[in-house]
Amino acid sequence: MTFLYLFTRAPYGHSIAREALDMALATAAFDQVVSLVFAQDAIYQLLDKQNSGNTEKKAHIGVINALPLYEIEHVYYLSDDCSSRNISPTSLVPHAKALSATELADLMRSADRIQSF
Amino acid sequence: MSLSFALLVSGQPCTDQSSLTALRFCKAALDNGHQIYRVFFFNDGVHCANRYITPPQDEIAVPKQWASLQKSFNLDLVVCISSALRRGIIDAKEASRYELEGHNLADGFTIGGLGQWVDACVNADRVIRFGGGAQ
Repeated sequence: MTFLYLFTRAPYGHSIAREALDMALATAAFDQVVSLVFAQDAIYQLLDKQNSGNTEKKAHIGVINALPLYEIEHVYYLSDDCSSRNISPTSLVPHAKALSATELADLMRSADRIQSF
Repeated sequence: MSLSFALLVSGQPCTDQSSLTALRFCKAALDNGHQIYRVFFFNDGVHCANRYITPPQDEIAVPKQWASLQKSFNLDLVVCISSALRRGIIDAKEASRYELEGHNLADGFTIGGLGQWVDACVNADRVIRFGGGAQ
């Protein structure tokens, strides 16, 4: 079964970003096909250089970097979110790929289960 | 046509309407001949399983409502273990494991892993989430 997780939250500030990412990892661990879309403020979860020290939370990037180890190969962000937040794609982790709004719509149509957090 | 539903409850019961909406959805679905495959409590939704929640007498105690529905329909109410332990929702087994003084998991709930949510997503006909999380 194909699962699409649509994340919209920044990595720090609320626990749901981290706990939902854990859910996605569990989904992959149970042999489901998982795609992750980091939309809106969730694009900040993909920043290569994160220093979470002042939040007193574990750095999110550890899990993000581990995604390929969980065989989660479909990791996406939206090109529009990059431009609206003035984020250069080169500052994002290399295993994340850009998606247009049309491609996102196609991805959503093809998924069996969509959950957004 | 009869459908089976997997419900994810992620809203805090005292702050957020979502768990009461989920309860009402469960009742309506069951009354109309549908099945609830599993209700999974995740993130702040795990507070729904705190049996020490004690509202004023003229307000609804969400954990008791879930427990009563569970008893009537033998519902599978599963509390996410990682969300629960972080928030101090503890059953007897975890209390013993972590050497805690007491436990507060309400009747009718069990503590389980995220795998049980994945299983519910795979096997239920529909997946619905209650609780958006504070934006």
